[in-house]
Amino acid sequence: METTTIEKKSIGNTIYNWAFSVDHKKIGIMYFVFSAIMACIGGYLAGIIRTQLWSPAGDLVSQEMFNQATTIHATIMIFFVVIPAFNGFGNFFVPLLIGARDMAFPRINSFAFWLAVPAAVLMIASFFVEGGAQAAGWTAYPPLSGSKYSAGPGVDMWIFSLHTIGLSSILGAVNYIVTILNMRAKGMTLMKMPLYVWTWLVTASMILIATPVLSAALTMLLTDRMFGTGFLLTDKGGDPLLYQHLFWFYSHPAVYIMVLPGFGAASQILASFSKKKIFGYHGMVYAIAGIGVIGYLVWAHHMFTSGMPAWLQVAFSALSMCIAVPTGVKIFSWIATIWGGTIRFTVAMKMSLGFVGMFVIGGFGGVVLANVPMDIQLHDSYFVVGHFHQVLSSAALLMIFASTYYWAPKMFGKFMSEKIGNLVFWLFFIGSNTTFLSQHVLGLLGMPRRIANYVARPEFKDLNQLATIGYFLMAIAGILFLYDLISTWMRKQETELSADPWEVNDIQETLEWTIPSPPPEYNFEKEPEIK
Amino acid sequence: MIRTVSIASSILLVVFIGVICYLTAQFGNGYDMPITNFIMNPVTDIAELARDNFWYTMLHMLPYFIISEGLLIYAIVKFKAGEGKVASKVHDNVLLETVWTIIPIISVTLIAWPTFDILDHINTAPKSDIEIEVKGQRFSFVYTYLEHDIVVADQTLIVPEGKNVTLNMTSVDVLHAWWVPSFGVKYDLVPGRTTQIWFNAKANKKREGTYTLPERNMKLGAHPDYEFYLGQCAELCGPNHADMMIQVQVLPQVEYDKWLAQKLKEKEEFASTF
Repeated sequence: METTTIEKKSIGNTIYNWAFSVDHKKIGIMYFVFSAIMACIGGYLAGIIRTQLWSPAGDLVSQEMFNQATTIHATIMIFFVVIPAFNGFGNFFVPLLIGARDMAFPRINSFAFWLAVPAAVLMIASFFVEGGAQAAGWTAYPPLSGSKYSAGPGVDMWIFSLHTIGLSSILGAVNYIVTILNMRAKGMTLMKMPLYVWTWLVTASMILIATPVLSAALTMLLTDRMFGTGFLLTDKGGDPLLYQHLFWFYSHPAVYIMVLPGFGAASQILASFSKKKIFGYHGMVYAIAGIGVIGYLVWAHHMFTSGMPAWLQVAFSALSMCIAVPTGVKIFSWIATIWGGTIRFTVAMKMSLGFVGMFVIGGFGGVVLANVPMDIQLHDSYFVVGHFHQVLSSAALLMIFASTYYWAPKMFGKFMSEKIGNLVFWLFFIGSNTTFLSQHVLGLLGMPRRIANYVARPEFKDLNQLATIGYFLMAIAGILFLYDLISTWMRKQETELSADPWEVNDIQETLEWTIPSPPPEYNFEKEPEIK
Repeated sequence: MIRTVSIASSILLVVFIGVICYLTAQFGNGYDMPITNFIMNPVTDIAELARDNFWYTMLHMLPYFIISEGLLIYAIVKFKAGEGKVASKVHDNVLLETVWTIIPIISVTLIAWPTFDILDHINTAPKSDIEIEVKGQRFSFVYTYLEHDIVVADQTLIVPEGKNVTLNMTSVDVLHAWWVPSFGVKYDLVPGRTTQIWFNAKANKKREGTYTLPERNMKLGAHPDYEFYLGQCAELCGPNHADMMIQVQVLPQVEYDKWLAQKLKEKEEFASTF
């Protein structure tokens, strides 16, 4: 074997290689690390909320600070944790799964990632300016978020931060769509793509179409605040409801953006560890597309009590009910996938199974909320909080953990610890069900959301305390997960892993398990051909 | 060791769910509070319709819960990898896939169908017996009984039983929402427009025990023997959103007339001081 003089790798060299990389794999890992850091902040803010709500007259922080905490917790978790974390896996694996050398636009890919960093800095810095961070809820409805009631630069920084990360998202979406449509290996027709790639195609389409509408809403809010325009202010001839429609036109697809990649990962993982192909591939594709399309038609179910004519309530209610059908198809297909298989209970598998079990319950909450008389009772109550956390902590968070445990051997060339992973799963699963099922009940019992204390309603105390216990279980799970990540990274791998360390590719037949672990920079030695 | 953790964790999960159920069943006991939610204490026909619809919806979703969670757990137990086990190669079944698409469509239609009539009932205010103007402000609600020009600011809203009460609502500053769970009504208060809700409530005698509501924000100006219904602002409106309480009391017509007479007298006395 030839020996060459190897340049000693300095820290500077490593930083340069990563920071200026246009390699989708490095960018993917950077997105993932970025989201892990932001998750600590988002999780910390959740801790403030749950600790304050331990007792009816909780006064850990002032009401102003509490409102900032709820607002920024939500904003960070949505835009800076879930979406970037999935972007991490998407960036790493979509090109691999279709047999491509890289994304279609590697430099735009890098630019998009580096937009996320100043966006995050702005968001965090907003806590430290006069007036503090945005405190009108992540929904930021005017007039509360307008200049009269939220003076100070907090809201403006929040808007600029979201504009920036929104641009990052849109650029990423363009990359995914062009890559998937143009760079698939020979023989890989659309209906031969792994389901994970399908979920990214639909997710990216949703990001591309919906995010600019959010930008429009935020820009109107910004110009109303800074330049005296009157889009959203009644005394200037505008209408606060315009903001709500535009905001939710993005934010409803946003929730599907946050869960579809999780659905895709579940399809890959459940099939792999049952030694079966995914059940009903065609139905699954139509379900993903169906969710993508119907997801655009339901936004005003967030506004049933805001001021809309009755016929519109009926239309949005009926459409919202419809989403249950494709989602049901997916749940049944996942169960049918593991049915008759030989199940290996790896950590990733347990998490994916836990996701399916939890998502069913979250889905029921959605059906209840789609029905207008019910929604009138439950809108702006803890039922909604419980519902969206139930679906997100399963389809997003649990599946992010699962994707990490499943794909770590490929990304890092090392397995994560199954022992720690089991603790992470059980603590998180028990914690999240405890917290969010309690919150469903609290909503039914009449507790509103976004309240910093419940002094006048002490009867809510017991379930709130149970919810806080669940939070701490989740927090420990998160810390253990980070510990596992860091110790895996620091561990020395003596023998190199094979291309298919889980030994799933005889049935799975996806391309990421045909190349070394971790992959070389060029991914595939020869362009793969699919029969 | 992993097996022990799994078993212990399953037990722990069941325990937590059991505790949630227990706490729900115990809800309100020991706090001497009005039980204010549409499931346990509906006081208007709207709330009763909502409660019935809630259980109807739950009943319709129950088979799906049992089937999906049941099959999931069964599969986890039955299909564990082991010596000599071979995975099935079945990966589609057109009949099954058709059935599990069509049946949910039917279910969803059955669930949605009755809700539209209820919605129509909620949205169609009948001939109003009492019109009250509600102004939302940071951080209290101000009620004006239009017929008598009586203003009740941040105090108990008193209404007679069996009468159609219409609330015409607006905000003087930011978005608010008026929500009384027992009444089954909630709607936003929007600056620059008037939103309307209506209800027709029953009067119930107060439960045994004394309500000891906190001093802050709650001024009791009403009858001690009849139930109060608590509500709150349901749209984030700023730092003291949590303090923006609503309290409604429904009185039988006789008691309501007495209260009204008292209020009119107070108004006259006040006017005569000028």
